[in-house]
Amino acid sequence: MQEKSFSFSEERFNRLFPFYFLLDKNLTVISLGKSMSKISALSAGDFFFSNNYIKRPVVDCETYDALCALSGQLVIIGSKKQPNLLLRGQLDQFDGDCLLFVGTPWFAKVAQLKEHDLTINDFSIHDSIVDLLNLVQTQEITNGEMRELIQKINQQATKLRLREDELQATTNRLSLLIANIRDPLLMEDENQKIVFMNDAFRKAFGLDEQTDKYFGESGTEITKMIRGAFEDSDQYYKSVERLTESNEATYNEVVKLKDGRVFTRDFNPVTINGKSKGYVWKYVDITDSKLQESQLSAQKQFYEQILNRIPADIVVFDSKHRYLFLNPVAIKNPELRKWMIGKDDEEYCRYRNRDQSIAKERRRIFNNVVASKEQLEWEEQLLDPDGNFQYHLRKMFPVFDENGELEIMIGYGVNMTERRKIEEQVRKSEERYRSIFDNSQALICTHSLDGKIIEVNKAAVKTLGFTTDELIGSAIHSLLPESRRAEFDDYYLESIRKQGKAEGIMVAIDRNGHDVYLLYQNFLVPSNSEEPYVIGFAQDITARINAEVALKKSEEKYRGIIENMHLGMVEISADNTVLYANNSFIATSGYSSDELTGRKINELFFANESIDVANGAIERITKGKSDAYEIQVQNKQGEMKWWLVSGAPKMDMEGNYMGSLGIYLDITPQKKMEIELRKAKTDAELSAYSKEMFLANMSHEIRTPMNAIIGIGRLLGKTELAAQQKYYLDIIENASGNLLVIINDLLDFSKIEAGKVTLEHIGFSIGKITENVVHILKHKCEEKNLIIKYQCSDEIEPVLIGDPYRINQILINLIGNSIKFTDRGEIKIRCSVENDSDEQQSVLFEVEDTGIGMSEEFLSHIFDKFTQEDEGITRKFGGTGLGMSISKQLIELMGGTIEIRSLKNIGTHISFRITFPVGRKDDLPSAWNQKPDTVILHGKQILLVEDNYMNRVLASTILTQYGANITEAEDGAKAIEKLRSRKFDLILMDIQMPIKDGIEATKYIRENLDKTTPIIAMTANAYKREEERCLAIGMNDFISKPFEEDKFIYQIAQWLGAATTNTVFPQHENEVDSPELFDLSKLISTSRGDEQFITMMLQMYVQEIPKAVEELENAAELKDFIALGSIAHRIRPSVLSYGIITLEKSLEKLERLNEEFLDEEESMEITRNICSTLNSVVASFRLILEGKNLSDLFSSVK
Amino acid sequence: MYGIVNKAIQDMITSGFGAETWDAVKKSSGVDEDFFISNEPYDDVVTYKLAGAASEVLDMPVGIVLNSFGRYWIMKTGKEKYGSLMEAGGSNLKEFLVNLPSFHNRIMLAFPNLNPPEFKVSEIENNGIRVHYFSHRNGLQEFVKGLLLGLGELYNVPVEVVHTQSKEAGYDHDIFKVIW
Repeated sequence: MQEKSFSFSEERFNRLFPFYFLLDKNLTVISLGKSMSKISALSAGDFFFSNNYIKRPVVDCETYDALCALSGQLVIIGSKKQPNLLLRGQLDQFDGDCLLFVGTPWFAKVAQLKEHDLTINDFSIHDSIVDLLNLVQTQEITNGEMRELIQKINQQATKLRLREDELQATTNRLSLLIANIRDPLLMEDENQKIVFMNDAFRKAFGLDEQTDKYFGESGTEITKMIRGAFEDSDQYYKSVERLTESNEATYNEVVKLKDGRVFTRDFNPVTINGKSKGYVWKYVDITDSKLQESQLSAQKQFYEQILNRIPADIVVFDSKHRYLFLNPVAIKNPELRKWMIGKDDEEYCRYRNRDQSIAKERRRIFNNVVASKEQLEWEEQLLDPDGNFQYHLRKMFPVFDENGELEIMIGYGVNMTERRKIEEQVRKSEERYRSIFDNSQALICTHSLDGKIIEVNKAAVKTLGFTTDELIGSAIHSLLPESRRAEFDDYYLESIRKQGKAEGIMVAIDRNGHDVYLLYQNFLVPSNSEEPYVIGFAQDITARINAEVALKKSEEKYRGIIENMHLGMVEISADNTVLYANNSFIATSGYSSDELTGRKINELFFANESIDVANGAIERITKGKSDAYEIQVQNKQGEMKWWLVSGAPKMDMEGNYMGSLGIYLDITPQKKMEIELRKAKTDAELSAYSKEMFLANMSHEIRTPMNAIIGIGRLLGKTELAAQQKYYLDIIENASGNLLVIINDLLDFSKIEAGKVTLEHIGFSIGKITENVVHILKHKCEEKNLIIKYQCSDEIEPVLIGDPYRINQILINLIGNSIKFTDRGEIKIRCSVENDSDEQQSVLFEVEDTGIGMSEEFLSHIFDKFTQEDEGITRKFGGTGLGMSISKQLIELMGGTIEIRSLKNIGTHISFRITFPVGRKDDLPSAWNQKPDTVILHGKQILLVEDNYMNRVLASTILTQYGANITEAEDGAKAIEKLRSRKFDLILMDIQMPIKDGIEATKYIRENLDKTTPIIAMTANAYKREEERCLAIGMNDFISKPFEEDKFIYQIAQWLGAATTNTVFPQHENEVDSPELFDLSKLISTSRGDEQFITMMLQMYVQEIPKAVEELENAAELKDFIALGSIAHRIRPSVLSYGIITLEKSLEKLERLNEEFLDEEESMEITRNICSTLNSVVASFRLILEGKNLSDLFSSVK
Repeated sequence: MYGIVNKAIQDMITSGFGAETWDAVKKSSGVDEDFFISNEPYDDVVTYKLAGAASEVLDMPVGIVLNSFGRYWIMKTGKEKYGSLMEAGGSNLKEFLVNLPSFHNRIMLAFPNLNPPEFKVSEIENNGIRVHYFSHRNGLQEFVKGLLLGLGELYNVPVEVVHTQSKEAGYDHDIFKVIW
């Protein structure tokens, strides 16, 4: 085997021996292990002994050689600086000049590892020092536990010794105790050997020797020794044998001795852990107590015999309520009586199957008596075996000992059932009489002979109002009025005393001081045992007496009334004979009472027509019905009178008619007044009708020529006129227009006055109405250079339900007034919502002007009819003074209100508010939205039926202008003739015509000739009733004269079935789509083909507009925004008439410059655009004028 | 097992629930020993009976009793009786756990009649380690878990112990992943 040489790197050496020192010859540390360096204070280069010393073995000197000599020995190195650090290992010379120490720290406790900051990893694995320390630790723990265990064992041993000593002491004490027991005692072990006998035993049964002499003897032997002392020695011996064999404890066996002594004997077998350990015999000498007992028994017997003979229940309880004694009266059955001893009532009740409630009650009383220490008596109700109740009176007497503790309780009871029965009968009898007494409706009272009340019943108490206590003992005398007291004493009491009774009516005074009438019957009740007394029975007859008095008074009262009333009253019999007539009837009839009584009433007064009325009424009354009627009669003086008669039948119990009672009121003056009033009413109605007819006729008569005047005037206006002619024509138009307004106002007023205004209830748009009114009146503003502005809130529903025509009328009136009375400034119209809900809207209309205003005084009369501020106004402005009155009444008819605020020379603000139901789009009449295209009139055959020549010319001229072919008829008859021969597309029918009027003609046409051709009524009668009449007989529509040309044409076109276009109001949105610079169609339409007119208009534009453009540019340069606004305002109407609609909004914006802020740049931009567009149009017009080819222009429009 | 284990159970129950409870546990277990000597070997049955009876008397699952006992073993028995030795086992939790295998091998020497479990460690990381537990005894996994949790408490490091492999599932040993 090849020898292996070892070579270690320092690292490996460190791993195997982490605790080493390598020293050179000078004992300087060359190197040291990594773990050694953790615990040693030395480092490489230090002198080994600078800190260390060799603890074992002892060395003489600290030299290299000395240390080398220690090689092969266990070396323990100590640290000078760390006294508790020892290193255990060995030294070995190394390479001849080095010394190596290899070892490990030697710790006594594991805790030292931590002190030196060492863990298990600082030790080489083979180093067992840590495990040894662990063992040491375990050993220490074990040692500790062992010490603890030993300590515990020592403690237990000490306790054991103490207990042994205690046991011994107890045994000694017990022995002494037993030895000194006065009663004879004998103890045997399990083998019946005597282990103990006391001296009392020896003496009692005559044993001679000292007791300890008998210890260890056989028990049987002792029994033999003493048996001779007992009365029956054999029986005694056998009883001892029997008990020993049975091994059962037996107590209080009585044994008797020959010398007369008596003992009780207890036999106790002793068993420990289930094993027999012997017997204890104990005797007690009871000779004296036996004697006392027999004496006591005799005494007890004596007392019991006494108690048993008492004829009442006698029982005795112990302190726990258990029976000690019961006598035979209490419990008859001797067995049960015996059983009861020692039992309580609960047990007794259970035994007898009785309810426990009696036992509980008795115990409760028992406890109460004990607590109160006083005897108690009570009644007890028991059910006997036959099911009958037995009543007992019971008592309990407690007996306490000297300490105050309950010794016994004696119970005593007597059966009182019989006595109770008698008492019950008496009680019931008394109760019955008491009930009669109490519940009697009659007043019952007893009193003494001197009139003092003894007793009163409830009825008396109730009637008199005093309490029972107040009445009893009081003197009847005191309850009577002063005036009756003497009568009471003299008559009543005297009568009682002498005759033993009294009866009559007595007046007493009740508590409230009212008289009480009592019908009485009183009797004296004699008595042997007590004082005699009086019993009285009375009935309260106060109500009867009062009723009699009242009836009498009532009769007197009504007789007086009837006699003196202003109504006549007559009582008649079944055959109409007068039985009674009062003073009033006598006065009105003229007859005296004697003349009337016994006469037939119908013969006296009624004649001719009246007799039928009277007989009819009498017949109805005879049948039991009350009746009222008016009748004319003649009185005795021959005067004609009107009577209002109210008759009521008198029937007997069987319902037979016995006559009647009639009340007669003279109504002659009222009747006269009624006749006069009726006449006045008829006259007034006639007058009103005449007025209405007059107004209708006047209206018709004025309107008919007016239609011609206005219409012809307009036609004339369309022809070429000289300036003077034009002027005259304007006057005619103006005058006729004013006249029409006056007529309309008068008509409206008369309709309102007559209550004949009917309001429409149709859908309409407030926005459109307002816009339309503004549109209509705009030109008047322009004429006066006024600005008109209107604003309609978006909140207003698009469709409301109401009368658009009347709203229109009111607005025209109010705005018209504003324009009329404003010379400069502006008119503002606003419509807004005041109150809003899903169902309705309250709309506020406001018209504000900057006009002449009104005085405060005039304002208070503004709504009076025919009112104008002064004559100057009338002269200057014209009008009827009815407009405001009409407007107010129309507004109020629509449920609205109107308000006016005005300041003289400042302006006027008029507002009115009306609530309209909210409508839907389909509530709007179709004609409202749309207007037909008039082209349809072209070539249509129209029959014009009109008696007035001028109106025929007017209508015919207008219709011809629209291309229609007109056939004229002067009256209805001629129209029918024409209709027989040919067909027309439409008929225009006047209403009032000679020969055959429009109504008759239409009736005939519809019935005989033509059912479908539209017939439109034309009438100057503006009454709605007329319109309804026309439609009812088959006409299709209604045109009121004088008519507006446009409306007239559109209405006709509509019936001719023209396609409709939205043309009522300008629809700028549509026009925006048209990119054309201008649109002359409107102008051309107005010209009616007059080329000259167009040329003139175009020339005018070319001349005037460049000037306006220049003005605009100058104003813009000067930034004169007011000027810009007014120029725009001026040119806007004419610009629009040339159809330059692209400028409409721009011009509007410039117009509003003085009221709305527009930024400068935007204003300049707008102005530039306007100028540029206007110039372009000028250029275009120049081209047209130069070419003079206007026919293209016309054809393009057509 | 050595008496030190049974003694520790006795201490834990007495200190936690009172001497009467310990008497009840002892009575219920049928173990008739008044005194356990730490370095005296006792039959394993005694320990199992005591753990079972404690579970019954305290009305706790036996797993919770064993887990609590594991922690008690470290924090009380280990720290109070072998405190310095435990400290020498490593200067931190990780070092202690790495030394755990040799620690138990050393105990085997100290307690020659002891048949201690064997521990191995693997997957040593900065924040965790796998502890392999080999034992001929069954049903003490919760005790081991309690021990590992108790070590965390000893070194004042919150740890999570996950039982990743169980002998009950048919493996030859249990693995606990200790994460801190």
